[in-house]
Amino acid sequence: MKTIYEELLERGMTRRDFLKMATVLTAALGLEHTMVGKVVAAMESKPRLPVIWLEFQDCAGCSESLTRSHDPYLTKLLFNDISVDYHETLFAAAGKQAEENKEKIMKEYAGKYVLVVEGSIPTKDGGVYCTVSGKTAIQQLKEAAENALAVVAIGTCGSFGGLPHAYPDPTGAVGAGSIIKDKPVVNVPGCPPMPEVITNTIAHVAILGELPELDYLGRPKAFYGNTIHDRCPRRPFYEQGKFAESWDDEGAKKGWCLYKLGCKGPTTYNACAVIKWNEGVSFPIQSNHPCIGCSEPNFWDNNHVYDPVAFPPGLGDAAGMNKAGAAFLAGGALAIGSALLASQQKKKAAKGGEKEG
Amino acid sequence: MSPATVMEDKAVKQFIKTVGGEIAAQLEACMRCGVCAEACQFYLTTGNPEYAPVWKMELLRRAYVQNFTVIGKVKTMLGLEKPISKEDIAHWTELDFHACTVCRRCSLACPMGIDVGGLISKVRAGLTAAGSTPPDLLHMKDKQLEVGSPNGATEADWIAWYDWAERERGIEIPRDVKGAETLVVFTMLELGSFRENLVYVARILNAAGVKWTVSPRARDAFNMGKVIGDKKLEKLFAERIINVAKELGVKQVLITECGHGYAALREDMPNIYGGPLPFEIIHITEMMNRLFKQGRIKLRKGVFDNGHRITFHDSCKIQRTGGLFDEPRELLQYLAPNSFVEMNPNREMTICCGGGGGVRAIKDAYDLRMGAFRLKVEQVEKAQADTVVMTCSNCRLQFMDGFKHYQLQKEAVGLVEMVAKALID
Amino acid sequence: MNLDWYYMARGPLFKFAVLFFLFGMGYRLFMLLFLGWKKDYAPARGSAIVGIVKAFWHHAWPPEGLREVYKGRLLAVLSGDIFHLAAFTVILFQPAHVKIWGKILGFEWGSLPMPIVDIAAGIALISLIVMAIDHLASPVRHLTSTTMSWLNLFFVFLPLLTGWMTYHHLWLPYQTLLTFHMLAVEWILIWMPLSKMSHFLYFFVSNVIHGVKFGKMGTL
Ligand code: SF4
Ligand code: SF4
Ligand code: SF4
Ligand code: SF4
Repeated sequence: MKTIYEELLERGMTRRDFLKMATVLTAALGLEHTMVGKVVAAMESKPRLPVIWLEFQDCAGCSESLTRSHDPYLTKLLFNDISVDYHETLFAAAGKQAEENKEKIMKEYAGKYVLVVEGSIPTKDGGVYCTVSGKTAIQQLKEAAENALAVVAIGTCGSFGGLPHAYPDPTGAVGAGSIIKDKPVVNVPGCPPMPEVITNTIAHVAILGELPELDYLGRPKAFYGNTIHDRCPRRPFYEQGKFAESWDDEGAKKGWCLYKLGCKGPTTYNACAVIKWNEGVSFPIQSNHPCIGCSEPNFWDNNHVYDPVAFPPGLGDAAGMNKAGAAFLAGGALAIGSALLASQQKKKAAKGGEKEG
Repeated sequence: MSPATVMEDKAVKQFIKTVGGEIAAQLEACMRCGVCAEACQFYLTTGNPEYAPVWKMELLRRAYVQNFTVIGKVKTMLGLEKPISKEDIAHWTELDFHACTVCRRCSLACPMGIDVGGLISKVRAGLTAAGSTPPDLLHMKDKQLEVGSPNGATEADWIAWYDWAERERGIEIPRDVKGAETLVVFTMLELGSFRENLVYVARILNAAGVKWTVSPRARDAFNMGKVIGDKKLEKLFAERIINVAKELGVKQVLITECGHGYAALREDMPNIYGGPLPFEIIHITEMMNRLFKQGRIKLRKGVFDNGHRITFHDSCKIQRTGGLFDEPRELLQYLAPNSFVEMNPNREMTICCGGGGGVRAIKDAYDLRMGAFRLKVEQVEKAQADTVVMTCSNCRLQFMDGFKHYQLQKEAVGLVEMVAKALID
Repeated sequence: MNLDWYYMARGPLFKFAVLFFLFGMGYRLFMLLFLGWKKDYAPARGSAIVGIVKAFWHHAWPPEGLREVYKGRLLAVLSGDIFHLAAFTVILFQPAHVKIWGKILGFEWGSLPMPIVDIAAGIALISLIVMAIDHLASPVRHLTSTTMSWLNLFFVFLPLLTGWMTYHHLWLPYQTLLTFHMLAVEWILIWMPLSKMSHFLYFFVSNVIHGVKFGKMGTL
């Protein structure tokens, strides 16, 4: 089987271009410059790993995100020249032709392709809520994953069920990792994930042929190792207790911490604060909007977007308050009963003597 | 049921009937921090942790927790809470009667505001209900019940004291005078040891023109019912005075130098009756101060400025829980402006003499109370005083015992004596 | 870690703990109110109101005579006082806590800078350790301490420790720490009505009783 290098030479690339590209890739993979050799070696020795990109219950936002990468060269490289052989949204081919194409790759590269999953998988009612060419998403996924080297779940939907999983979760949506148990699943959550994070992770698996280091939720540590809060430019204000109290107050104008306006930065592991969006222009907090925690499981249900992260969901609701009052009074009622019993007891004890209490 | 069970049962019953919101709140508030121990003379002078006030009220806490709280009942079932046993009752009888004067210094020390001393007297009541009162105190109680005074002094003895005053000191002691303003009640402690007080009080009242009387029927303010924690007896003994006072139609009952007799009448009786008494209960200390301020008695200023240093001992029932802090001091400042000095701590944080609450009457507690008195000796010596003035005869007797025990050449005198001696007739 | 615990701790368990706490404290409060109260008929020498004010004030800022007494148990008194000050600084002024109180009560107050809250938490933790030492060192405290008092210390220690760890992102992912913190807080809410930790309620009642009693006597 041909190595990546060989394939690239076949397409007319020179050795000089190849080395230049390897340098760019190394940087994009977040590796030290000294690692260029490793990348070159990998591309020279390892065969090309094709990528199959499936979409289930999704909005294609993650794919959209990808097209806004600030390194289009890399994206182009990855998709056109290196890897992606099947992508439902980006490819011109459709219907039967596309399906056949996919099956061909799966057969040809059995055990050697990377499966990317965008969107959640419905599990309720036999999974009927999402079918592709007559097969449920579960079937599609299981078939595609069977001979895959690894699975990369893109977006919070693909990783954890995402928005479709939010209450009341009519379709029983779950992430790829809940279906595929016998393969390594790399999660790249975010709603959407950062384009650089998507390309990097896929490139890591497809080019180096190995999984990046993952955290406890299966996310690459390189991007999800710190919280937004850890890297937030407003962090000094948090430490000083300087908070914007409303959207247009003095604090908001001065760029103070958005914690009190609902920032989920402290519980959100993602790279936005470092890489930033739209070619490094900005990220929500920099643009005066709190982080909504989109890369965390269940972020939609955790609590209100504009409630501080520490709020347990439903805190202070009228219904909750009524329940609280009821609990207090129920305790009180029980106590009055007990006190009556106690006074009987006292009367009994005082029989023959006079009462004192 | 074995007799032993009956005994604990009686104690527990007494505890149960005594518990109300007030006691429950205090027991629940106690964090068992042991800060109260540092207030207690018996703990301070022995270092025995069992003498910590909080530990002395442990039985009441146990009875409360086991009978009034869900958690306590569960804990008792699990064996984490031990029911009160016969041994416990014997043990706490020693702790609460021998090693506590119910001085309530601990009550003021407790950061949670718990009236520890007050609760200890509830424990005493439970122990008494269980029939476990120190025999010395029981004997005194019986005597008070039978002949009228705990030391066995009979009506005839008292009349003999009145007669002595008239005969030897030539001062009339009016008896059972209907329409008198003031019924004066002494105690056997006072007249048994400081008989002159009869004369002093008479002279002061006469000088002020007070229409007063004593009554051989209402002669002794001492109240063994209060000491041992028997409400029924306390009422019985107090009523001996109250009934006569009502019959004579007096406006006030004057208690002379006795602390707990004063407290029994002033604090306890209105609560036992559930309403105020129809006359004022006044202590001689307040009376003297009042008469002096009204100009009804004239005193020689500075008469006790004679080179001796004089200090004042605050008694537990009259000062700490009676509130009469300034009354004696104003008099002393007038009588001895240059030689009057304060001991420290004083006023509401005064250290008890160590002899109150019946402790002085318990022979086996001698060592304990003399040990406790060491604190008082230290205070007096620090103040470099030669004379200690006080307004309670029980304290005074304890001071005299104590000075003798520690072989100190110091004097314990009553304020009445000083005022009487300073009178300008 | 499984995030299920995180959701449990923030959702159903938290609700349960709060309701249990309110139920238990409701029980305690009403039990106290209905257990029977005596009126005091003794003639007053001083004022009950002055007594109440002085009771709280004296126990917060002891006058000279009382200070003498407290000196004997300086460790216990200081660790107790300092612990409460520090712990309430954290409970009431940590920014996240402020928001939570605000949501529950409907109004808010300013929060303190995190470094100050951080120091307060450290002080609270240390004073709890001092209290534990005191449990062993003081003969009286040793006599009166029970399994329950040790548990109390431990259970108060936990939320402070986990909260402090959460703030510093120590060793474990933030969610894990927050979960531990929430669980510790929830356990305290449940434990409070069952144990001496409900003393916060009785502290006020007891000191009012104290103030009324000794105020009327003229002691205070
Ligand atoms: S804005 Fe959000 S992420 Fe930034 S410091 Fe404040 S809470 Fe943390
Ligand atoms: S800042 Fe927060 S909400 Fe916004 S994209 Fe990043 S992780 Fe998602
Ligand atoms: S000082 Fe008060 S709270 Fe502490 S042990 Fe004594 S009575 Fe209990
Ligand atoms: S009342 Fe006095 S003697 Fe009794 S325990 Fe309290 S401080 Fe000690």
